[in-house]
Amino acid sequence: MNLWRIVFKSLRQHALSTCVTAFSIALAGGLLMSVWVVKEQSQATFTGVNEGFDAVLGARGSKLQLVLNAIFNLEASPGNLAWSDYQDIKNNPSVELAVPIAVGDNYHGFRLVGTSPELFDKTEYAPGKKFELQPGGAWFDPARRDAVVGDFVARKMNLKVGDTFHPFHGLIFNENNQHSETYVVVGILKPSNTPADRVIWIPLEGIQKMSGHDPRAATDVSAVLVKLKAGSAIAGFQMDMMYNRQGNRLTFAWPIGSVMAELFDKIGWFNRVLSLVSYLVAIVATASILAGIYSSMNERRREIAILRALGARRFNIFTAILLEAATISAIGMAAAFVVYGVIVTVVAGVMRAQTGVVIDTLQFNAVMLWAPAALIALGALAGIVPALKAYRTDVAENLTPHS
Amino acid sequence: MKIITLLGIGLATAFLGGCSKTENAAAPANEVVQKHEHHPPHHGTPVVLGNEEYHVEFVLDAATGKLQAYMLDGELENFVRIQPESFNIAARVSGRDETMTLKAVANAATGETIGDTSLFEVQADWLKTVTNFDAAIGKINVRGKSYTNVVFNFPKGNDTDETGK
Amino acid sequence: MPEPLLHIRGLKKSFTTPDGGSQLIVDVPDFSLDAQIQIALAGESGSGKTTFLNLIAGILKPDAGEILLDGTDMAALAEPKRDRLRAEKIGYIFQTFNLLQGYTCLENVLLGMAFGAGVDKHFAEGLLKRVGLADRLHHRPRQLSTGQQQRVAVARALANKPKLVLADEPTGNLDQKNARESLALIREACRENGAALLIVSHDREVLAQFDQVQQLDRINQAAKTEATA
Repeated sequence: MNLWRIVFKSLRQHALSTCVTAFSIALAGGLLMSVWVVKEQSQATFTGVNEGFDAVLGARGSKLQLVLNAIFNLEASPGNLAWSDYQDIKNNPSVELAVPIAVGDNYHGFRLVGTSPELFDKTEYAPGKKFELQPGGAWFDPARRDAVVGDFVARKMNLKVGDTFHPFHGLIFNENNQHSETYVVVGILKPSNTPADRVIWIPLEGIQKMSGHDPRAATDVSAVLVKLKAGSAIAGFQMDMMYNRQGNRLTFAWPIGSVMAELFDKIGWFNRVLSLVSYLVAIVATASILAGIYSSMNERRREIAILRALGARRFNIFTAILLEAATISAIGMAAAFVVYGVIVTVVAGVMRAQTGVVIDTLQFNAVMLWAPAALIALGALAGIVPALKAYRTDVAENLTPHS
Repeated sequence: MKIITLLGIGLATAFLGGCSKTENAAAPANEVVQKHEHHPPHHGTPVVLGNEEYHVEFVLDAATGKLQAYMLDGELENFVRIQPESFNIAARVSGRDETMTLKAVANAATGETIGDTSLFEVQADWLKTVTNFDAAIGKINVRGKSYTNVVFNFPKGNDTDETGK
Repeated sequence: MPEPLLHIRGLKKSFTTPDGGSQLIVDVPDFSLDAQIQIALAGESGSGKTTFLNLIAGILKPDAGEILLDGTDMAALAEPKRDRLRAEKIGYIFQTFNLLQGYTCLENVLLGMAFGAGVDKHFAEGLLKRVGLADRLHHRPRQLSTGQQQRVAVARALANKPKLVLADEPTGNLDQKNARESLALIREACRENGAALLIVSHDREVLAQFDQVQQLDRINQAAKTEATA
């Protein structure tokens, strides 16, 4: 028999109140941790995704739109580039690799992206990682109507090697806009956890020469993915100045990571609102601990008086109540990890479906230490007011039950 | 209840004080010139036209003997496209006079054409070996304003009062 | 001659009346009790008996006087030290038992020793066996009869091996048969464990069991004045 036994007895005796308040702590803690981790992880991941390239060259417009269109396969293209623009940058001595892409068609909402085979054989989408095919597939032949399908698309649309399909015109699926061309799936990519998983890759000419597309623009491209030679940071700088400031025709989005980072800066307010909401939930939850224990103080007077009569010090009683409050918080925080798991799994799933980007939510994050510590401390703090009431219990008066 | 109010105020203060760690993790600057510093974008030699109305930035590539001239605004920030197809510079190099004709450069990447460009260039073999010379721009028209006999030194420029360099 | 276990001198305690005045409840010029002796105090309600016992137990602090328990003056100690002394040396049996409903019989007895020298589960089980509740160790008070609850209270009072057991109308809530058995149990248990017993009751049957019976209103001068007021 010790103080902890007394604390747990008390929690059991007030099981309903304990569960309800612990649950609200679980929600608060789970929410707080989720908001924190998702924000940090998504920012780290999105600013880190560049499919192995340093910059994107596109028609004059917003750098963000360019990056979202060319790297993340979201957003419309700001316009087209002439083939000569692609060749110019390809021939730039500071450029190691320039890969053209063309967009404009879809298959049931999944984008078709025309590109050259260099995207697959020369690109490392992440350090040390190249795009790979699942067994039984092959890369597309640029002269044929071949398609290499991203893993996510293949699973969602149930496409296998050998299947044929008709693309649809536009970036948004409209079943009336079916093209007459037929494409054959020749390969399916292994999951790369990048936006590449969510598109269907076809030869560049496929998009350029699709029926119904303007034949005069048959050699245009939507964007050029650019990789600069190692040690040519100055080159990026100078090309940025030339295209973006000296020039007025094209936009050179460089470095890709910064463009995304600026996006996150811009929506930083949203994250702060979410954080504020979770702090408020935490406050409400700890207030509920205070209310729950405090309201039980009246009925506990006799029990406290008996314990005191048996020799318990006032300080023991005070500590027991504080521990009770902190323990409810601790139980809640343990459950908070379950809540966290649920929330981040859902969010990560949505992110993956929408962008192809996979965020790592099970990785350790400092918030998993300080959030429980903070909420347990807050719980103990909430226990001070009822603990003081218990401390002040008049023993003699409460020993005799008042009939 | 007082404690709850205090907690709320404490948290709000901490929050507004800036809990968000990455607000100021700014992207590496991919702009050259910040605000009102007068730094020539290519780190070349800035030559002032008139009363700081425009600048010409001279950049020398000694390896090829190519001298480039960029037309810029008063803040050395924006590129200014002008109509002339060329302009002349008279230089004094080790006792002798050299005349250079800088010709307008068209650039498909930037959309500049002859008659609408900010870049002029000239090539001369003596430029491969000379690093320091005095010169004067004979005459140049920039957006209707005419500047004559603009004297300068390469690489020092002509900014005698050194505004914020 | 050995010192008495309990020696009270000049003990006074007043309470504030609802109208703001002060009423003297306990005024005991002299009272003592030797070790292992059992005495009964005859007192009606209103004679200040509960207050008197609470003062001896250190639950209340007197306004004046000395309460020497086993050599230590309770009255001069700060509250935490009084609590500790009570935990180590005093057992208390209440009229309404005052068992904790959320705890089992065994746990109630363990609580009786938890704040003093320490927990001895074996000894606690032994006590419950001694009072005839060997098969009720893990029952809650609610599941016991009144007589059985009283016996748990007795076991708890002896759990910390006290020098002095205080009993405030211990048979007040029991029927005649249970009362007799209960009183016998209290007396035997105190004798076996070497504890003195100070019992306060107005029940003539109870008082009849004791060799030494004192009138509380003779010991407590405040009670006399009250009675005559």
